[in-house]
Amino acid sequence: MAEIGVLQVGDLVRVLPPFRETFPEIYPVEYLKGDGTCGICGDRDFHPRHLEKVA
Amino acid sequence: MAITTLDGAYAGMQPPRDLLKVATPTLVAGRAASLFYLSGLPGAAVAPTPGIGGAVLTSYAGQLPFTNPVSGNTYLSRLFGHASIAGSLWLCDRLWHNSGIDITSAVEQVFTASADIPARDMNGAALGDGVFGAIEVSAAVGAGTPTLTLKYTNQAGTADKTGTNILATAASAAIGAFYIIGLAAGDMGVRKAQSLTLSATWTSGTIHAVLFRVIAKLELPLAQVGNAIDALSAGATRLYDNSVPFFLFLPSTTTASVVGGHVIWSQG
Repeated sequence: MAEIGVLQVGDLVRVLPPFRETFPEIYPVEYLKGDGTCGICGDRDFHPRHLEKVA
Repeated sequence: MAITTLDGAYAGMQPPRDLLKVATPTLVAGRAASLFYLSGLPGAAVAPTPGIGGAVLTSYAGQLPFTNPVSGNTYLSRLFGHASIAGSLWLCDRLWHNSGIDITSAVEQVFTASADIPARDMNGAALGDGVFGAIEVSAAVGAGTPTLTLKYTNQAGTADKTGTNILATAASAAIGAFYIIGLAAGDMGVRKAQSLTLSATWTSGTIHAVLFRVIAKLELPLAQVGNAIDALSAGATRLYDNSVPFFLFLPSTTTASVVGGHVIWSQG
């Protein structure tokens, strides 16, 4: 589980359960919002608590 | 006694129950739109407020009128529909819904004291076969494109199964947006909704978890041209006592649409 402010655009992340079944790959962070929400897969929003940084 | 002949179906036909609504909120091609909260025929339902634990439904103002048979069973005898754009019209039974979901929270929200469905699954049991979950918007949502994970008990009684919305959510989804939740591999339906987790905030608006069963689907391939199915082509689908019929419309375009039709039950 990542904390708000830790992830940066371009970081590679793994999606944590219960969302991993729908997003099973490793994805780059494509955008960040002001509240810390990260965007992956084009336009899917994730709170950092549902992501873990891989690289 | 069950109806077992066409003569029986004909003799048991009830007066038509009408549908006529204008789906003015922004539609999304291929995404189900609940007509529940729109004015027209039947009148608009008020957004439910039973709390996070939800309510098992045996009636609800705004449903298509339904009266239990004096004796015997109820079957779908005719479903007629028309719309000003092509699409498909789904007649559904609403079994359970809740309120009180925090749309800005990205942690699991447990549906404390949530109950099993009533005995209205596809077999008239309270097990969940053919019952699906959805997240329904009753007040337009705000910014954000969260993924929605519903935790549920499946038709076999296995708890803590999870599924996510099949169609991707959209920011500013309008009232009526109806995000159907996929089932885990091997599952046939939902017996009880347990919790919801949003992957991120949806900022504002109001959403509800809903458990429902599809009674019939009617294709409307041409704008302004009606279509109908009858007891035979609908498979003589049964409705069980205390059903709460409501409609979903799957539009082919984003154009606001007039959606109408009627339903005839056969009882006996």
